[in-house]
Parts: sequence; C-alpha cells; structure tokens
Amino acid sequence: MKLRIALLALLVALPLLYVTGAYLQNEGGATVGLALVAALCLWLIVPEGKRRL
Amino acid sequence: MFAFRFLVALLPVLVLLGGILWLRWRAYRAAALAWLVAAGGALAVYGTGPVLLASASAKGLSLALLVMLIVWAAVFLYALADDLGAVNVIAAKILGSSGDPLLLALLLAWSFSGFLQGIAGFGVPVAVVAPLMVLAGFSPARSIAAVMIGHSWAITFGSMGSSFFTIVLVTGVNGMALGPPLALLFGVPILFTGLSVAHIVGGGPGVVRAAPLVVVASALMVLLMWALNVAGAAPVSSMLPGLLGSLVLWLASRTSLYRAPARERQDGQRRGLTFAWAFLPYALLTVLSLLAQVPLLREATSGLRFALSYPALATSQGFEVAAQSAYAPIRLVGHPAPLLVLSALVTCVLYRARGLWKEGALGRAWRVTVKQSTGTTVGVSLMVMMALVVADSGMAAVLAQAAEALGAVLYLVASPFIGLLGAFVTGSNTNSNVMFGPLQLYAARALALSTLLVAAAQTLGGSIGSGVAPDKALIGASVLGGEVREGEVMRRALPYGVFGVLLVGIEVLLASLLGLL
Repeated sequence: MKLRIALLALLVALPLLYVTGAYLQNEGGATVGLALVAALCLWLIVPEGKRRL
Repeated sequence: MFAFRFLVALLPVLVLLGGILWLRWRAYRAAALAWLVAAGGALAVYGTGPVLLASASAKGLSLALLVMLIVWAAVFLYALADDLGAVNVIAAKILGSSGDPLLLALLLAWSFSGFLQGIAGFGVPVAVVAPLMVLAGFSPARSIAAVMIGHSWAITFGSMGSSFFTIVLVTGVNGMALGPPLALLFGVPILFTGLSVAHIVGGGPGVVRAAPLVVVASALMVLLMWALNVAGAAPVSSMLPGLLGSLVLWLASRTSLYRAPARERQDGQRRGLTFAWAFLPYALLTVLSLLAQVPLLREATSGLRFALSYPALATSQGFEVAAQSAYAPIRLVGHPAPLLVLSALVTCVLYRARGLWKEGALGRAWRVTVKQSTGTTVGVSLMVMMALVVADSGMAAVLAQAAEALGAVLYLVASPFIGLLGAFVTGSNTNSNVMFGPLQLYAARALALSTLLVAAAQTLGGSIGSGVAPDKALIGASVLGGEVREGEVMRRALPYGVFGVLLVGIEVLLASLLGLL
C-alpha cells in the first residue's frame, strides 16, 4: 500500500514540479513542490514499524 | 575546494550504493535518500535554486514515465501470456526438443532466456528458466548461474528496449546512430555468454564441443540484431535474435553432432494450445513493432505524442542547462507501450474466437503487473530524479573533470565497469544508465572520446552487470524453494560477469584505436 501511495504521489509530483519549476519558474511554488517530494522521500526512508513509535 | 565539491557530487551515488549494498535497503528507500542528498548538495554547494531543482526533478519524472510505461506494458503482456498457458507451451517445446544436456542448456539458458528478456525482463528469465534447467537435470546453483550469465547479452535491448532508450535519452545521443554499432559491439558479449553457459554446465570439454555451434549462432544473432537496429526496430532487438538462436540450436539438435533422444514433454499444458497459438502475442508484437517503423506511418502520426518542453536555466555559479523541446516524447505509434497493449488486446480477441480464452485473465494479468511493477517504478523514478539533479546542477560535470585524471585509454577500459557497477548495485541496466549515463557523457567530452562509444560501453557493461546482480541470484534461489543459497550462485556467476566486462573494455578500446566509432 505504501508503494502504491508513493506511486500516486509521484504521478502528482510531475505536473506540480513541471508547472512551478519549468513552466511558471515560480520560486515559491517550486519550493512547495520540492518540500512535498522531500516529505515523500522521508516517509519512504522510515521503515514501516518505526512510524508507529 | 575542488575536492569538497567532488565529494558532494559523489555523495548521492555513494548513498545509493551504500543503502543497497551495506544497509541492504530496498532500491526505492536508497533512491529516496539519494534524491534528498543530491537536492541538499545542489542547493547548499552548487548554487542551484528551487526553480532549477524542481525543473530537473520534473525532467527525471518525464524520463521515468517514458521508460516505466514500457515496463508496465511488457510485464502485462507477459503476465497475460503466462496466465493463458502460452509460456508453459513455449518452454515445454524447448525442453522436448533435445536430450543432449549441453544443447538443452544453451537453448534454455542462452537463447530462450534471451528471448524472454526481450519480451519481459526484470528477473523473469531467471524465474522461468532456472526451474526448467533443474528439470533438465542440472544442479540448482549451476542452473541459476547459467541463466544469469546466459541472458545478460539480451538486457540492453530487452524489456522492449527500455535500457537502450534510457541511455539514448540521458546522453542525448542519436538512437539511430547508436543502435547499429552497439548491436555489432554486442557480438563479444553474445559469443562470451554462450561459451560461459557451455563452461558452467560442461567445463572445458563443453566449451570445445559447443564452440562451433555457439560461433555460428552468435554470428547470426549479431547480424539480426544489427539489421533490426538499422531498421529502427530496437524494441525487438533481443527478442528476435533470441528466437533465431533458439531456432539455430533446435536445427543443430537434428544433426548427428548433437542428436540425442529427447525427454518426454512436460504435462500440465492446456488442450488445443499449440506452439503457434502460444507464440501469437509475441508474433503480433513483432509485426506491429516493424509496422511502426514504416516511414509513411511514422510521419503521418508524428503529431500524436505526449512530451514536455523544458526551458534553459542556470545555477547561481553559472552552470548552464540547455533548453529541451519535447523532452522524452511518448509517441502513440513508435513507443513500445501502445504496441504491447494492442498485441494483448488482439490476442484477447483471437483467443476468444478460438475458444482458448480464460475468463478473468486480463484482471489477473493486471494484478500481477501492479504487484510486480509498483516498487520498481517508485525506485526508478526517484533514481532518475536524483540522476537529473546531479546532471543539471553541475555535479556530473565535476565528476567528469575528476575522471579526466584516468586518461583516455584507461577510461575506455574502465567505462563498461562503471556500467557494471551501477547495474550490479541496482539490479537494472536501465538504472545504471540513468545513474552513470550523464557522467560517462561528460567524461567522454572531457577526454575527447566518442560519445557514441562511451554510451555503448556504459550500457554493454550494464547489460552484463544486471545479469549477474544479486537480485537475480535471489530470484533464482527463491523460485527453487531455497534449494540453494544465493551466495553460492553469486560465487559461480560473478567471475564470468567480471571477465565478460573486461573483454568488453578491451573491445571498446580496440574500436576506439581503430577509429570504428
């Protein structure tokens, strides 16, 4: 389930990063997009069992 | 200062390798940490702003989308064929073709596994063929090692060419210019892997006995691989040579040199499902792939594509990233995924008409595809994002500057080993090309080497490295139900992989010295 959620998040990240970074070149929007990807990465790094603590 | 910048540039790759090798993390976890480290280094040390960082990461996702669509469609078609009993019929046909152990080993571990890599990949050849090798009478460790090294020639053009398309995309070389010479360079790995299988199952005498047959089959396979690339049919450039090799070996089993009474064919096959019907999905795919190369059709459908364009950007330290119009385009006619899906749908219609269809097969194949491909997709996507951040922030350029110290001759021999390292660690030729493709490109430019030759060296090493990667040994050991430890398999397979890549390094050096590329 964790991987399916991550896959969906990455599918959302593509338009988000593209629009804010490449298309609009908006620094604030790009920062928000990158922060969301960073949060996803941190969530993937933390093992399943540890998240309950 | 340069040493510090070099270390920061190297850190994402070290984190990825360390996460997988020492911490034994799944690839997606290591890739997630590697992206964080790359992004942190790009922001803090390389003067990369959030706009460039977001653009580079989106570029990575564009590239991952193009490659992973091929993976999902290829796994789906294979899962459907397997569910319908077609894979079982094809395998049994091969198992029943000869009683000569050497010939059977070559047929199964070298040519048929190459064919399977062409259509599916991702460990499927090891999972399907290793049990057949055991049925044919070989020990589990020999069986897995033989398939691991035996199918490694087919990995770059396997999975419908996903690794080939990746090296083309990340290095920006022309695919039509790279394909034909790369196919010719695959001559050495094809010959070497065939002889390696003979050595694993028959030792020195096996090599001597198999050599004439392997040489003839290899020559024909290389010629076909080359011709397919000249025709622009890279997606079927492992599948069809694998099939041709199987045909040559089958014909050899009819000659006095290799004739031996065949074992009885395996039970459990579906009634009415002949070899021709079993092979139908892949015959359809071949025809559609070749049709898609017809220039008139390509031109007429050139507008039917999805692609994003990326602007020129620069870091605050002055590193410039060129604009990319229509980056990683996904064409409706030309991209392998629509062809794979169309093959599956036509198979569905024809099997229904023939009464061979199994209710619910599409749903089951889809569930297998989701289960098998989700983790790979997340891992590959994050890895590609990391690789593009490394490339677009200027880190790859710093790594390449350091590689200049090796000198051109040493670098040419070492370049396939870089491909091997990436594939060995990540278990994937595609991932290796993403990780190290840009680095190899920068190094080639810095050392005034042919970018085509270095791109070829990267993916040649990655192809062999992926075949002998630990994940393949793990798949083989788990399919055989723990009859053998993966460590024992690795000890058998790895020396062949390292020696094979050394031969490729020498081949690449000779090609450069002779000015062939």
